[in-house]
Amino acid sequence: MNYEIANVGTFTNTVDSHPKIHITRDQLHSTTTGDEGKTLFLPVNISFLKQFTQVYYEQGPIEALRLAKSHNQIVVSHMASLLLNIVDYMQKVRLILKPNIRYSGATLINKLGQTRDWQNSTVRFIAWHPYCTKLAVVTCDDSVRIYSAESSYHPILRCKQQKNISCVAWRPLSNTEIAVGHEDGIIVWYIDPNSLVARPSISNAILLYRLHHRPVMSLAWSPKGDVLVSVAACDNTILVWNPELNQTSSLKRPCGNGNVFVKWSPTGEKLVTCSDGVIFRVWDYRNWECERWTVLSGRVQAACWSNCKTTLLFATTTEPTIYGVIVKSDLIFTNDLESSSNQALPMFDVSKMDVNGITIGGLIQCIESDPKGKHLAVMFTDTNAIAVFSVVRLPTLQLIPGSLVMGLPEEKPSSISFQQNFEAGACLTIGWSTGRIQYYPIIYTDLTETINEIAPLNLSLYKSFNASHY
Amino acid sequence: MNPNLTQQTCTYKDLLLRKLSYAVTSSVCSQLVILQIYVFLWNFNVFHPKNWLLSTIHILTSFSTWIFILPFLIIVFAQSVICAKDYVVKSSYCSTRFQKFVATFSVHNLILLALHILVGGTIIWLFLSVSGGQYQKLTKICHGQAYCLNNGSLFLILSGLWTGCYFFIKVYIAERNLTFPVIYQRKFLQFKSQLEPLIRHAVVTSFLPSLYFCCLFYVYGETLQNGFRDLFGLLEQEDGTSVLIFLHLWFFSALYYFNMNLMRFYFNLFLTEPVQFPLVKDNAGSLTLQESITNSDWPIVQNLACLDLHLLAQWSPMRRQVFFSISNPGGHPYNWNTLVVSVLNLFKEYTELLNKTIDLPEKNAKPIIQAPIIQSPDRFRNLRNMTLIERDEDICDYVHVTKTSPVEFSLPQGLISYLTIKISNLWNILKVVTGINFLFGELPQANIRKCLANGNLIIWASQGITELLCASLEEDNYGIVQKDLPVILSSLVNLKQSLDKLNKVPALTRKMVGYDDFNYRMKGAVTSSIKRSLFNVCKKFENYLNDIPLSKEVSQYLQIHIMCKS
Repeated sequence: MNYEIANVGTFTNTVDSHPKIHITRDQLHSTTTGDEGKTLFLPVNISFLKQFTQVYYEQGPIEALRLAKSHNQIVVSHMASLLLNIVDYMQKVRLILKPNIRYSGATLINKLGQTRDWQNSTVRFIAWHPYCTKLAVVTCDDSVRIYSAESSYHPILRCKQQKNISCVAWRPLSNTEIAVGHEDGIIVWYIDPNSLVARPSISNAILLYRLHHRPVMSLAWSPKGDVLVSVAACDNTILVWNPELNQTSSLKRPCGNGNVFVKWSPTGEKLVTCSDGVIFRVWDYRNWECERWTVLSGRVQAACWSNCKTTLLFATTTEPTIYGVIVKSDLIFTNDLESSSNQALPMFDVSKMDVNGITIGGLIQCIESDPKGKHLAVMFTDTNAIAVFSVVRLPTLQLIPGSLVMGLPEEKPSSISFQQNFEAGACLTIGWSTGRIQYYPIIYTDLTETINEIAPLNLSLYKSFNASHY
Repeated sequence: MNPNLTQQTCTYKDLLLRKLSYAVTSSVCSQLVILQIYVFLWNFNVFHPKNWLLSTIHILTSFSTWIFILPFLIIVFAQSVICAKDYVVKSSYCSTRFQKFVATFSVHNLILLALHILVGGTIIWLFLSVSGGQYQKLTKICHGQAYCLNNGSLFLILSGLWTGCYFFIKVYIAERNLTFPVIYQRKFLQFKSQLEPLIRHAVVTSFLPSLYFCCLFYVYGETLQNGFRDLFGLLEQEDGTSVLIFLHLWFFSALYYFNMNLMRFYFNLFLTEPVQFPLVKDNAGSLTLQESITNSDWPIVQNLACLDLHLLAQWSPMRRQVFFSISNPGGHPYNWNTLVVSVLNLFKEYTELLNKTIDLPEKNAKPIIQAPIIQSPDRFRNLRNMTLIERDEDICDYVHVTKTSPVEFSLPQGLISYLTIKISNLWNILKVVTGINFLFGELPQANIRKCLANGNLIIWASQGITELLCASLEEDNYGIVQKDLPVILSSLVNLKQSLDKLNKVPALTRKMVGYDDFNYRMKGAVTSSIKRSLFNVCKKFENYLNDIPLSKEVSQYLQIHIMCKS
């Protein structure tokens, strides 16, 4: 089906009022690195001290020392090279302790994040507001654009501290606040809905950062919006923030070199965090105790909660399989062994295969489940189709392949998200690499309810793309 | 079933004594552990591990060591017991400079200062004497049989006294408040996660006092040493001290800082541990959640009660049910009523304090809080009218009696007012010139500071009570909560409006104070939590919002500022 025919409006009017978003190259702001002005000026001879202070303020102490090293006075250059050596050794020790700091923030986000091909795509992350038809779109010019069904103006969140955005998260129980995770920390923006300012000012935002807690990879608000959990790729401590007071509590358990992913369960009782090693943990919100899980190889790339509170679906970086794990449901009434399964069950094999000449499946980049818990969308690392599954419970959780969503020939999916307040069913939203945002509404009718209930009876528990037919 | 769902009944004293005793015990015990670790490391001998272990054990079990340790432990015990009072008792807010001055030089503080200095000296004396080495004793045998003064030892012990004094003045006086952690984890985990920052902080912050001490000693050291030698008839030391003594100095000041911060950490750890308060009164002496919420004499109990309300509203359906149940003989929702009265009182006091502080001219004298007006008989027909309490609604009729006074001779009105203005101006100038204003004048925003220091109470109470309101939609079988819904919402809106006025106070804007100011941040936290609480209720009761009898202003405010619908 080609793009022109695939007009959703002919089938349903539920997404008519949704904002039409296509971010083209000319809408993007140019990103400045701050060095460009310098090329316009010719170098002049200035005194060493002046040059030294200049470099110190502009490029930091290390560069200043490098400059001092090339000084012709032997005392100064020796001192500088001695200090540089000490810094080098310290850096080497830090590298042994934390190998991730070798890479730049952008490289780590590209390598470990939820977004596919983060470096090159126009749309880097999308997030729906929990109650309103409001969508936050992160673009490659380090800005966040807010689109809303109710108003035609689109605020742009942008400031010089906000570089290389990895994720955004709307604050629950609030209409106006959004947390933006970027390379060096977190910014909680306040967007006044009653004002018509296109660029909200940074003076209303809260800047949160901690030394060594970078780059922020993933953010999750508690369901009541009072605390924010953040994980960073170079820091194996998980921070729990009280954003207004700028206070943190740290969750520290032995794991890899950093953490890459965090997500609350829909009921708010559990929290899953994945490290960049084989370990992932499920935390209990009440007492902050955790269950420790390990995968055989690689790391957990994507995870999401089914809406029955207890099942966690996840995929690793080495196997094209969706796994399911049942975690402890209630700490008070049950004991560890009874309620928690001791190993993950493979739920669906999504190995690469050809359907009508199109390759689908492969390693998984991102999994999202819709708020009603009936559908699951899966984005793959190297193939361009997004697979949508139906989730049924009979009585164990099962996945039934539903449909495939394709973009234009050159388009690759970057980020997916389900609308949180879609009453007619589930609305999958896909950000394509070209900057186009596509809505894929799945309308629930009584008919689909019955199909979901009857169809799975003759399906086995463990299925595969290769075995099932669309 | 026990309605409290907890076994123990407790009083304030039990609760606080238990928490404080844990804190004191652990700070004393950790001193022992630190000493052991120090001795263990000091005797480091990699080639004879057996000797290493044996000598460590020998030192720690010898009688003389314990004689040294005991006085130290007693002093530490005394210090922590006296410090404990600071964390528990209501801190007085000094609104004038004079009050601040008096409060700083109180007997309590002077005793603490002495204890801090004493601990600083003894800690070094203890570590030096127990571990051995060249600085073990203040005297040395030299020149054959005579006693000489050990300069290094004197230097280190004096540095201990200095560090104690410095720490007390610089750190202890300034930072005496408890901070509740964002999330409460197991104590051991908190300890583990805080240990490394505590050590790092101690090493960094103790550098400056050590440097100051070196400077001081360079200037006055000679005099002190001579005085000391003359006092005890000692001879001068033959050999000089090595440069390594400066490292010793830094190490011991870091150790002192670490010890003191550790003690403070223990108080924080044990005092901020959440407590489950009983919800139903067992006997006259026991405390309940409802009473503790308004108990401003013991701020820590008040804080814990509000925290408990927040936690139970969020996590404990069983304890929530206690509020939604009615008493067995009588059928009154006694538990809920007392809770609502306490929480509303808390909000009311806070709002009043805020309004008094902001001191803006009152525009509308009409109170926004209104009792629910029952408009039509069918709206509340399911509600039994059993719960209405009288809330300051005494209706009094005044009879105005006027009496005309006889005509008297008086100065013209203009002259009197002119004179009063002149005199008061003169008086004001006098106050400024003589410094009376400086000493006794009210400090700017002292009240706001006091208000915002209690911000946590409002944060937890508002979140807790609104969470209970939301839960009531499904769990409240008798419709107990319904009648109080409008009052709670109105008083929260009222509080929010007062908080909004704080934005106009120049001392609380970001430009003036910067982002790191505690008051600025707390203002944001309280405002945001009230906003979220109101949003929570509005969201949950979205379909019934028009049925709640709210005054026009309140419902308008909710629509525009909370739900963001214009």
